[in-house]
Amino acid sequence: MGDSPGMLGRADGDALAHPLFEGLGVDRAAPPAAVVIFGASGDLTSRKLMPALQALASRDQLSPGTAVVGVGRTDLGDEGFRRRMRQAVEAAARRGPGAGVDEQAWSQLEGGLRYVSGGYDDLATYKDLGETLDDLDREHGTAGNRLHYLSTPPGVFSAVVHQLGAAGLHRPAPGGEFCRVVIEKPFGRDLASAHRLDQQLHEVLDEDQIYRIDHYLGKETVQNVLALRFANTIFEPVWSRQYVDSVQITVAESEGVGDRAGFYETAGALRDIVQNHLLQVLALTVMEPPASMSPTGIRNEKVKALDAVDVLEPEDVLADTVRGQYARGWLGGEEVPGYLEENDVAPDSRTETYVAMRLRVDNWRWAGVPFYLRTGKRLPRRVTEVALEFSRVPHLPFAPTQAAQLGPNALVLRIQPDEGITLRFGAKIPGQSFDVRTVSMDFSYGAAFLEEAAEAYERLLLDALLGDPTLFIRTDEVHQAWRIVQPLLETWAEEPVRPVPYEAGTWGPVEGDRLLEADGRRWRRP
Amino acid sequence: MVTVGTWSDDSASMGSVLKALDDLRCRDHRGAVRTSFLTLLVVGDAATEVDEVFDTIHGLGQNQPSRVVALRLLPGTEHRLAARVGVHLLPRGDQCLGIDDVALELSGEVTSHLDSVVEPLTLPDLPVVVWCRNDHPDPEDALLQTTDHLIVDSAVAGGRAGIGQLGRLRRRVQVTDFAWLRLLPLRRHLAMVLRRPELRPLLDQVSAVTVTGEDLDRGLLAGWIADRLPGIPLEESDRGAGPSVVLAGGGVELSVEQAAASVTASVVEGGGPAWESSIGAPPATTEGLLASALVQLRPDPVFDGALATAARRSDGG
Repeated sequence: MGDSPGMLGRADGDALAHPLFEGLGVDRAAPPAAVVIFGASGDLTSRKLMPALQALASRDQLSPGTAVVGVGRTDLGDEGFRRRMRQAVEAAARRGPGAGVDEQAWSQLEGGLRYVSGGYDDLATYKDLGETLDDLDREHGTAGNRLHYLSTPPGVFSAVVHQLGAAGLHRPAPGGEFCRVVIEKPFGRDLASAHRLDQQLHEVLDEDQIYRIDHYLGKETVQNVLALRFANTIFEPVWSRQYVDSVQITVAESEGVGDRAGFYETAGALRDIVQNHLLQVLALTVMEPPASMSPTGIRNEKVKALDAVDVLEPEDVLADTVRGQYARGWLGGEEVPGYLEENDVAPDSRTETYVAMRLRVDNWRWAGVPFYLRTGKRLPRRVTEVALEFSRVPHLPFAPTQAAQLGPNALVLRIQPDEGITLRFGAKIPGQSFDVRTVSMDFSYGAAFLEEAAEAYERLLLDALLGDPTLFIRTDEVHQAWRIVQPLLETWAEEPVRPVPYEAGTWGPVEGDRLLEADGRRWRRP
Repeated sequence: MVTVGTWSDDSASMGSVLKALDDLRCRDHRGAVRTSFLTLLVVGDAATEVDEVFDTIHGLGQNQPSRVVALRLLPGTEHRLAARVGVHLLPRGDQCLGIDDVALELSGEVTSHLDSVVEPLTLPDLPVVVWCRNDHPDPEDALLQTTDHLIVDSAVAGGRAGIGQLGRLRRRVQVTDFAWLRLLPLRRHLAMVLRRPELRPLLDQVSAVTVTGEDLDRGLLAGWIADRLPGIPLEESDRGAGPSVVLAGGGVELSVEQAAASVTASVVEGGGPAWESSIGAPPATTEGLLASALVQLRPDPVFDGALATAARRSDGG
């Protein structure tokens, strides 16, 4: 399969090139297909996937020949599945700004909802599934196209894919054009297991059939990093070691571990956030301009960017990283429990809920510029941002007192919430004297474009149906990301000391602050 | 929506209008940081209810223009420039979008120099969109010099007979016609059903096309089909209730018809019905059409081609 135009346009060749289709947006409408969701009785299906499909139907971006087949261990039956999906769609409508469920869109989807129950490693499940898909091809016009979505625990990815292969469901049915498999993170637990998982997947699937989803990349504002950098003249020339003093990337959450302790205890912030979301944002920040916005063009540059990240030596891990764990504290006017007090958390847990690290990107553009990355739970507010702090001017022609309030220039890309850009620069304070101080110029996407951005899952499901892998993670990206965090995993595993505690509602442990203070810098307060 | 302040004067000058705008904006501390994206000029006649126009525009929600200037042109030769200015904030989460409304009533010679009135009110360096509610402007109208994009409704003004004038306007400025936007559900559903694998052969074998509907809809659809599928015999018929397109070829006939609240595609194969598919298409509101027009400010070569071909067909060319 050749490289598709990706984010610039449609992805499946000339099948849609007809004069009658021009200007009607059908290039962003999914072709007929059966969407098969494994783990359909789970939370993700109700909370995200079904509402996303309903929203796509509502925007007329799904073909009338779209079916959704749930597969799960729970015996729901077709009717039970329909009821549950209806409840999911109603719940999403209540959360959204609209006036309730779009009944026309729902009726389009409802007729194509089916459910298959059975074990994920039982071939009989897949035979039932095959018969259901054949029926849908005949009766619902799904045209032999399949999108398998693995919304299951990662431990069964391999079993599902192998049974799909054994049942012949890893290829499109006769007359169909595609069969793709979407896999949710985590993609392995470390570098070795990521390689093993890929090997198991590739025993059945070609790489271009595999869509590894990191919903962060589906966020409009993450994609805006590319627009800001590569659609403008004024930013790229200063986007280098020549002008940038340091870069800070923050992914902060105010929530605690909630009901995810079972997963989180085995993952921690490093696997949950750093290996994927944080390093993806880093890659978009440091990558070189691609020749085109094609999937290959963008993903090649991201891989090159991650490849340039200097992997920490074990002896540097302790000096260049900090791991913390939140303790009881006050957040938003409420006292919140510490991590060790949360349900399902081991009383002696060493799972980190905070990571701060200093990385270097060894290439022509970024050599010598420190990248400070941090993520944490129970921080004062939920925010994701990239901040480029610029070098100071070589000479200030003011008296020291006149420039006492002048800080370095900074460009801050706020990814969530309140998406936008802030430029910090110096301006003269009005008056007789020539005092200069720092001011901020804010741009808010929300105030410029009042359009509601599509939910990340809407965008990504549609891209998977259209065969556009740009916003999905390629196997070599996964391996590069594990390569970067692997020394941390190994060193921390051998380290007898627990993560340093930090009070909930603060910006992390003082050790995190010292990481920057040692370089004469300090964390921004986002 | 929160109104920061209003100002009015029955005998205003443009200087006083601009000063009022500045003064009112100074009261708006939350709107000190503004992100603007276009100026919308609304041109109407004496029958135009300015408050109704503003209500329509304030109902646009996500596609709210940053500044709206409503011009109500009154008959008579006596000079009149009455102005009403409002500065509002549209809350969105913990942010506010600033919106300026300027309503001007004009009569006398100044109505021949609207560009001089409008120019100082346009937001710098941003697109100026003109919505002509009643008539198509003259292609030589000086107002078009300040216009980046023109919005009209041929169903209200011009009808099929006005397609030629619209074509001439289009050569001067980008145009969006609500009449064309109303046909979008039909055209899109036609394209969507033609993507079904079983209808792909029909795409290559279309041998005859029939379009039906009211005169204007029929003319636009015929222009579109003739432009997209040149050389294929095309018949216009006034049969049928709503606008429709029927493609025939290779023993298959696909008919797509737009009714009051839905679009239905039906396929006849081998002399008998094969299948039918419907989508909901509620009647387009003025707010909805205006919002669509403001979102799509880029050139629309498909409309341009349809318009040019429709004009040629109407002229008998």
